[in-house]
Amino acid sequence: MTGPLLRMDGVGRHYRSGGWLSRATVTKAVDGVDLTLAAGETLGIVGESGSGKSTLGRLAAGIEMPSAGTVAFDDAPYAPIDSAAWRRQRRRVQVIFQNPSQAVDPRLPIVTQICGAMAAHRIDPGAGRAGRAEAMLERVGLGGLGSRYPHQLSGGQLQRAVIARALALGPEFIVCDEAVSALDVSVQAQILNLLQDLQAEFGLAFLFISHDLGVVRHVSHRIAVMQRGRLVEDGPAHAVFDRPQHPYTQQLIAALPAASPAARRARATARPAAA
Amino acid sequence: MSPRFVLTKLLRALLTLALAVTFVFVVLRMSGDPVTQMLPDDAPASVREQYREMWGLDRPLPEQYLRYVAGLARGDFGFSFRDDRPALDVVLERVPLTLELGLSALALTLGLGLGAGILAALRRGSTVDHATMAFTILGHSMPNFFLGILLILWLAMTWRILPSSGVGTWQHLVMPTVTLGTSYAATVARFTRSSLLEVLHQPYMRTAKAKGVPFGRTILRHALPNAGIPIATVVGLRIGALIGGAVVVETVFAWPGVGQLLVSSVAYRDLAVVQTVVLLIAFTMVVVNFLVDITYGWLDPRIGAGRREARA
Repeated sequence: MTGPLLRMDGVGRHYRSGGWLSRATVTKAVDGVDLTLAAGETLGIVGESGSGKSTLGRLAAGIEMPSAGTVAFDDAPYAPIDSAAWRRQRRRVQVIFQNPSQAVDPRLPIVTQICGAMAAHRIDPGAGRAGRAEAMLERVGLGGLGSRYPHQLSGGQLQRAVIARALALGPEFIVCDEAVSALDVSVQAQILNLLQDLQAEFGLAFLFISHDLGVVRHVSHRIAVMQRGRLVEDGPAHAVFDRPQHPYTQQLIAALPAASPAARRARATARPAAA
Repeated sequence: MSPRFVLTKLLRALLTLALAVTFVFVVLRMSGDPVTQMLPDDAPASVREQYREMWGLDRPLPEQYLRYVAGLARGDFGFSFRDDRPALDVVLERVPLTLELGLSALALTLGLGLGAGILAALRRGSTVDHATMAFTILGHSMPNFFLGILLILWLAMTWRILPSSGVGTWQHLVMPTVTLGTSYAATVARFTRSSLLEVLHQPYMRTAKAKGVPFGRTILRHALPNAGIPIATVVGLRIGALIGGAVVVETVFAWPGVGQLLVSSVAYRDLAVVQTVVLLIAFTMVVVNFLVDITYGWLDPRIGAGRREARA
């Protein structure tokens, strides 16, 4: 590999709606986005609801195709969706969604689901497969719970199981689309730390999508800010947070709840007109 | 399966059977005097009285009922007025023919219903989907006997390619099977389509796809089992109904099964035989329901047919 792991050039995703009885409208969920992601790096994507973050995530993962521009993974565009080559690529790119309980089949034990994902890619056929699944569960802190059904696990445990299922395929790149937003704050921290440990251990690249700036800042090397489908700011995490350039980024950061009363007072005096 | 689950099911089954027996017993005896059917119209009153006494019909209703139930407990289902032999024998000799028709209709129901339902769901909005749904409406709204008579008219009378009635060869089986099977297949197809569509839109189906699981496998492994509960329910009801529900079809095609026996026995007021047939139908329903309950647990381990919940 010569270039970055993931490269998006002028990527757009446009949805057409109406047009039969009403006038057709085109919604540009993602519009002219350029970004790169290196192996082992975390890029945080922030923005408000409807800013196109999730669409960008699906484009980056190759489970949706752009209507404009190119998405290149490992220097080549994704194969057409549903082709055999595309299915093989799925092993290298995983997605973790917001709600783990919807990402699992409710009627199968989690270890079966992990093995099912491996079976789709013929990883470790035979007895080794269950062992690998168990090892992955162990790694995410769910050792011995493989025979549980999804409804027998808490939200945090289930998200760990989903992470184990993704890891079992040995991916290089994981898109985390609001992966911790459905969990309560203490569990969020555990999952975020787990993801960071796994990144160090397996050299994973993350595209970390969240509306929660605090979460994104915690895990990201670089941060990109999205507004109405466009990237308005992009840079190292500390730079974006400490010296936001774009007014929208400044607004987002100002909207963060202050961590301490002192910080709250400082902010109040800095912006007397805000009240 | 825990003993508690089996015991509950068993008690419920017994209660169902008892209710069916009691209801039929009372209703039959309120519907008229069987002796009027057994004797010619001009039979003298003394002979009628003698017959009533002979069959125990002169006793008070509660006594008759208790005698009947006591007989059931001994395996005695009563005597057929018409055939003058045990009612159970009369009924049981009809069972194989009804089973033959019921099972072949079930095969058609499952093959056609599941197949068409799955195809319609996977090709939603396509011509196949629209055609399937149109046919299911037709299958639903056309009464059994009407379709049966149409088939007889075309296939037996006009084209003379199939026998119109009776039993014997596989050709005899075709029209009753089609008549009975297609309307049930319509129900099964609709349930299969709608419950499969619901599952196909679940996020975990997209997740499986995003993990690179091949399409066929996502359907077989995730979609169908998750869509299976409503399908199993409706198929179960249909299986139960296949034994008793063949009444109309058996009559139309002169198929000498249990259904036809029921119709003629009701007309003849052959009390013991009617009671035995109803008991048989109720028994089939109870057994099928039990099997469906077990299938639920197999399809969805969360329901776990009485399986002790693993502690979470």
